[in-house]
Amino acid sequence: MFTKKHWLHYLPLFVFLSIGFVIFWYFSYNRLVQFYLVLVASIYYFCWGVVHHWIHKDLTIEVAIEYFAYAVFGISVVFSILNLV
Amino acid sequence: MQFIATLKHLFIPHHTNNQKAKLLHSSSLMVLSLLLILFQFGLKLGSGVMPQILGYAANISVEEVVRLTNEKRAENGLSPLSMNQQLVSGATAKGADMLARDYWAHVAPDGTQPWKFFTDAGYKYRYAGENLARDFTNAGSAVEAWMASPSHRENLLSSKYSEIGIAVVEGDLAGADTTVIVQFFGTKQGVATGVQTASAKTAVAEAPAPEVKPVLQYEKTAGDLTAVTARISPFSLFKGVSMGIVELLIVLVIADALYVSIKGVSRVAGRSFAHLSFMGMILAILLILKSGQIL
Repeated sequence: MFTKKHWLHYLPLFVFLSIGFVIFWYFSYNRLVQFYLVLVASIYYFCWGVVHHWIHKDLTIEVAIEYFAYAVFGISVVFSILNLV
Repeated sequence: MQFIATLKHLFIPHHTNNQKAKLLHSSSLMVLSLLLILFQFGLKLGSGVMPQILGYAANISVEEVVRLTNEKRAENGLSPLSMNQQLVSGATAKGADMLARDYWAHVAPDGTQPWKFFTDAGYKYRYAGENLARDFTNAGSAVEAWMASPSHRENLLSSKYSEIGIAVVEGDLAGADTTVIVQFFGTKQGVATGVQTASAKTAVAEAPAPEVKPVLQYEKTAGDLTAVTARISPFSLFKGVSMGIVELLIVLVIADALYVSIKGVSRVAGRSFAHLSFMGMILAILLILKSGQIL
């Protein structure tokens, strides 16, 4: 169940990723900018995960690796498709 | 039976996968990442080795590019551009030069400026401009891409130009079968235009003319019709596969969140909502991405 406190934690992540998507769309056909944008968004996502769990005192190496794995997956997908356009 | 057990292990929270679909485990995500990168390199390699199967099927006619360009100009209150055969020859020579010397740029590796192709074709310009596009499947998406880029849009909607020349050339560029669109804009010397003070965009180079090798496998100029070949686009194939995987992971994350909530499973793991937000962004990016590059 989400509470107001939960939403405040998720808001920075959601806003950052949304803005990242809008900038990605704005820079259509500028592949280099698009790639760096996804790289920055993925790093932010990973850092957000680590800080979020650290604040909640349930940060473990497994949790950090989980966020890292998702971030690497996102980067791999976008890097690969940008390499094919 | 073994197959069903494997599927259950991969997709359904179970005691064999620590109550979490195996595909959502960090190790599985890393393996998926590696497989996608290998798949992409395989497609790139395949498009070079088997261009008749894996490649970009072009559906682009010169007339369509000119028509759409003039349509955009009309929408912005500008006069239409007329086709000039010297500009067509210059654009064709530029396209042939890029394929022959394997470069994708306005300026050739030896420093040859695009304006040289104008003068070599006998076009004495007062104003000149060049837009390039590659790997687009149709003329409409290429023109839309130029319109989305401020510098290309400026060329397309410039009142300085009165004539246009287009070439659509197909061949091998950096090991991949490619369709390149060369769009030349110009106004001849002595012709009055809407802008009186500006000069040509850049100085004309004095370097000796390079030999343009006749390497075009396919060349279309004004009057030719479109050629469509049945090929699988590596971009579309990868996009389809990666979107399928991302959607599957999103479904699994939602199912996992529901399972944890309903069953009251207690475990230390990443937040499902965070993963969904991130994967949602990746899916949205895949949805809006279109093939093609402009220069």
